[in-house]
Amino acid sequence: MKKLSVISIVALVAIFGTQAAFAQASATQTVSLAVNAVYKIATSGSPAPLVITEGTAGSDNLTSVSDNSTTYSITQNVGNTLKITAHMDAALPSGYTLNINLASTKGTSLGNVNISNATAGSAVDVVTGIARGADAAQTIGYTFAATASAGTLTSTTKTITLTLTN
Amino acid sequence: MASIDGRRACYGFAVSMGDGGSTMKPTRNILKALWIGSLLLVGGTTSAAGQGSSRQVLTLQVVELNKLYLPSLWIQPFQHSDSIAPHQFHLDWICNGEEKKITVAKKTPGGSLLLRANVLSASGDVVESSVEIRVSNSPVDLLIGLSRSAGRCIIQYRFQEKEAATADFADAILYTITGG
Repeated sequence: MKKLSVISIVALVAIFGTQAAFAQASATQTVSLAVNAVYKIATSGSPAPLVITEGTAGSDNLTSVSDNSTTYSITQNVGNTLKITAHMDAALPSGYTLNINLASTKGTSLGNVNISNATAGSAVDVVTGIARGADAAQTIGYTFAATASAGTLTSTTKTITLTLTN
Repeated sequence: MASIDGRRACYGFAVSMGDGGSTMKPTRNILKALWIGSLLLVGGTTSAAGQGSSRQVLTLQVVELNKLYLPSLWIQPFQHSDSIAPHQFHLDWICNGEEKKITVAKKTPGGSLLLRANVLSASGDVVESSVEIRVSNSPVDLLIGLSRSAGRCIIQYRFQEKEAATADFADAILYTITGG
């Protein structure tokens, strides 16, 4: 009798235990995922002043000066045909030339691009065909040139805007 | 408020089409199309307007620059006994300031030859001149009216007194570009 009771208990535990093990509850959630378009461009600071101090007697072109001390970085997930444009807050007077040159590993650099007359309404392309991803610490080069006939130029600040756009 | 009005307008259109069951489908389709269209419109605008920008501040300056270039000369005034041959050379300049001139002065007392410098073939609007170069603390104007230009001219030396030639000597003739 005692034996029977033990067997019965074991059997009950086995049955209910198994049922407990199989018993489960579930709940569902809906998670909405989205990745928005990201256009990020940043520069490492501003270059040192570009000051022309030299020229050659007999030649109207003064000795140009350059700066390659700053860099830019970009991150974009939008497409493979993005570009970077450049413009100044105001055009330079005639006889002064400012070229910009952006290196690129994700796109095609257009080399030295004259931005002397590029303003907000007439920004010029400097890098094209930029593929999705990131491009970090790429060199920004500036070259400033002038002619003697343009005269001297007192220290002038210009704001250069680089825009990553499609 | 605009969307509510829009919905009313659509339902109004559906009612006018006929009975409820058959008109609800086109109405839903229209609403769906409008909804998708508005999403595309908003998305497209965002994408077209999407851009990032960064700015740098650049300081530009061109300082005043005045330069002359002329070669050193070795002159033998009376190579041929019967002639006083002129000696000439090119003088180049550059200046980006206003109202400059080039002056000339003889700085050493050595030698007793009288020397005249003639300016020839000057570029631009520079007035050609002819000056006598004497030992003096006051330089004489050789080229005037230089403003923001680079140019070249020929300087021709002529010795004026054949008899004064004696032996070799060095003369220092100083050309200066200065404010006019």
